[in-house]
Amino acid sequence: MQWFLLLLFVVTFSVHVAISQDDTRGIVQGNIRSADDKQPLFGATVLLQGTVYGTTTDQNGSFIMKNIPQGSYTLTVSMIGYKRVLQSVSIQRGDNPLLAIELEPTVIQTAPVIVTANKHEQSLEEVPVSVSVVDDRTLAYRNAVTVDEALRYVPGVNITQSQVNIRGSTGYSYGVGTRVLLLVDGSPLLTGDTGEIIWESIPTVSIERIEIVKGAGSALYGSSALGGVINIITKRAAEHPETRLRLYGGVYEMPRYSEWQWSKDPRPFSGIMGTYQQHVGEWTLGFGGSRTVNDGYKRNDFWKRWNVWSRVGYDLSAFQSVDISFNLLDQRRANFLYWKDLNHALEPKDDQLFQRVQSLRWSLSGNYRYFVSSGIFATAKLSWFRSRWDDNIPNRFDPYGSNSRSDFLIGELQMNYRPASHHMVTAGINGNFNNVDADTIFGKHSSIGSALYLQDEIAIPDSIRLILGGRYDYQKVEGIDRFSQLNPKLGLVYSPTGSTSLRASLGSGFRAPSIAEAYTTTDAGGITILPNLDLQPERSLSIEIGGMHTFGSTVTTDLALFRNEFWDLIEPSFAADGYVHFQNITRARITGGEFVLRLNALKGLLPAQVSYTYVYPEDLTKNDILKYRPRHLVYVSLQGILPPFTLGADFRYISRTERIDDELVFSGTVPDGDQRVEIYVTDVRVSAELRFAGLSITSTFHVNNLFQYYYTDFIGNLGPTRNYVLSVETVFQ
Amino acid sequence: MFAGCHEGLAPASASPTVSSYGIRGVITFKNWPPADSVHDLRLGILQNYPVQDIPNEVLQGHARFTDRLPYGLDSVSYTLMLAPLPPGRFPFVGVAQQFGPNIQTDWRVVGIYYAGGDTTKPGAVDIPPDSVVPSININVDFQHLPPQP
Repeated sequence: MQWFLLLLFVVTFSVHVAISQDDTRGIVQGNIRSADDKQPLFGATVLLQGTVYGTTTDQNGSFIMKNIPQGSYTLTVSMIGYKRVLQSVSIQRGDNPLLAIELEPTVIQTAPVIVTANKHEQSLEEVPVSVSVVDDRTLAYRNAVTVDEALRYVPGVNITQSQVNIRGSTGYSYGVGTRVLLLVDGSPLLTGDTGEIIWESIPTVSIERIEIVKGAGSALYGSSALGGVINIITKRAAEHPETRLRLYGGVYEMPRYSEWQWSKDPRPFSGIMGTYQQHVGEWTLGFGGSRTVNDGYKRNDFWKRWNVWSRVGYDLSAFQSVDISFNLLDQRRANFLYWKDLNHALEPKDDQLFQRVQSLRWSLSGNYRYFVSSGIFATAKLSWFRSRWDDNIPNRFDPYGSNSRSDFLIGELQMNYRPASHHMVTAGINGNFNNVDADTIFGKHSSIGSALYLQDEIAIPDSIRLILGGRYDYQKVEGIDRFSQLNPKLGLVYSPTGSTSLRASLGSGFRAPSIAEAYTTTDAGGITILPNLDLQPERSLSIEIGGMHTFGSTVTTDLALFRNEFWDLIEPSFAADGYVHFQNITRARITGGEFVLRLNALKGLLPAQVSYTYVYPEDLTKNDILKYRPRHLVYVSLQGILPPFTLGADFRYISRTERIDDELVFSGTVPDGDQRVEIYVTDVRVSAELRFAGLSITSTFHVNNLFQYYYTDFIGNLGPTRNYVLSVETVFQ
Repeated sequence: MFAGCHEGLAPASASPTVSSYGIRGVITFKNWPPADSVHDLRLGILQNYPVQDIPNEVLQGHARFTDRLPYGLDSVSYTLMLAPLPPGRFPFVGVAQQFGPNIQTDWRVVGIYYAGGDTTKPGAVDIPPDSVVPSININVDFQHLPPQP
């Protein structure tokens, strides 16, 4: 870690001394209100375009930014549920006139500005692919303890245990290799050994919003972006100090059937999370942490976690900033692999009862931003993800259990060049190094890679936007043949009117085999898994056409049709030697459509969203349906706002998974493993928000799985029983 | 409000007519082979015997198996509950070893339950409702395997 900190210090210091400081600075401040009811807007984002300056409004709708060099700027104000406002401001020395800005409500209940689709800020209507956004209010509203819980009602997304599927892309890959790329502030966060997402390593209290881009995204982001990209944007401190505290506690109800009642008492869970953020001169400081415990509704499925989070930023000048983020997860958990049988659906087999896994994971990242001129913006990123875990699960190769330590380092330089207001060029260079030390299960191996990418985006005229780009990746995993991959991208957006935008896109993706897929040596449930050094990368091609239309101020519709082709999908499978190996065996095609309807009746007091996603997941190798891909997803979310109260209900229907791993049933590994049904789950909540003397308190009572519906979210794993949660969040400013 | 009429999955024994029944006993072992040739070892009970295709019987739900038996012991006691199979006459109880890596083909019978000292054919077990039949004991000698079914 020492050399990493030294490098950041050198970059910070050298840039700092190179910049001559301007003493003639001013203050820009103002108040943001809703145009319809004139109420102050809390949490609106205020940015000075082309500079590093930005903040959010406090509970009175006020904002202030200090030490701004004199000059003319464009101020951008945005907030979910409102139209973005751009306003010219002229900053003079000292105080400046108070700005009063009103935002018009819009039916689009999502972020007006996103960054993930094309690696720069732009409006949702300007991107050629389907994008969904989950903001921090939704995370708190649903009491999402981990990020995957917040994704359960995103159109086209479903979670199989903790593995995320975007429009059926991932299926279930046994925790070794995700087909959806996770980014935190634009930097990948996948484990070096298994290439998987560790949702619990990201504390939800640190999140400003989550952007979900659907379809292949390797043309900008490289490996793992076969089915989509999820980018978590963390919070930046406002000008005023802010302390945020959330507590929750709940219980799982006892199961209806006596056969499933393995515990005498309902199983509890609880947590406390807090953050503190402050702007001090040129510094932005943010710290947070959480302690969460869950006794588990299933026997031997408990966990205990500590999370620590910090983000420290420093504005080197009006046009340069650097920040460093740190995340730490310390977790102890038990191991529930499969149920004993359907009569003991909440108990594992006896040999799992004392299995434990402990992990310590942390990530450290540095981010340098430089507005070179009004048309050139450069960023440099460096990130390091250390993952270590130990278990006591014996296998024939190691009777005392397995352990693994991996270090994944990524560096990237990116430049955005805007030669004209309607033209943007994005280019970058990327390098990565991965080292795994895992005794018997994965061995000691490393990988190295690099990439170049370039994208051109031009509006001709303003109603037509054309995006053309590509990325060339080179990757070498120790022991496996090196490979290179060129991923092109083509996008088109046509906006004939202000309320309609049509889009079309074509992009390709790939995923390099993880070290775990190449080298796993273990056995589980009587099945022996051995290495395969002939693995090749998986590849995909995504095509999408879609359109969004807004009817008046209350209804927005979005329709997308898509086809995703996949080659060489890696799956564990019996080979000719009789052992299981990860192999490139599946050629697949997923065709489908997605419809999203958003309503904003009674001036925003009755927001609602309905989405339906249909996928037809074909396994072209076996002429069958792909495993673990339900065909139908229906999500309905309703809210009724009667200040200070909010009532809410979410419903999800997921059709029965048609194909699973029959071998696990046949071999007796999972007795009754073929027992599964469609999913109907309803979650409801009521919350009350009170504000006084600079203190905001929001209390919410949740009932999840209201109708106590029993289903499997994976083979031999019953989904959560009905549970009751009380959460309280306070904000001090 | 939303599809509350469904209750989803239920235990296989949720029916009031089904209760606890099964077999129990002791398996004794002699002449263990090397550990790397014992990929799996289980006691199983078949509803039909003889059968042409045991894997198909398993897939059809006409058989029950214990969890994997431990390697290297002189003897092990077991209890096998039979639900969701109905109570009644079971013509075959035996111990099967997976001797090779192929989980579908590399199996052999290494021990059979014989009734009343008659070792010429497998012993049938009559299992009434609400009863765990004791003393279903099996001897396994890995150097003297029984006739394969």
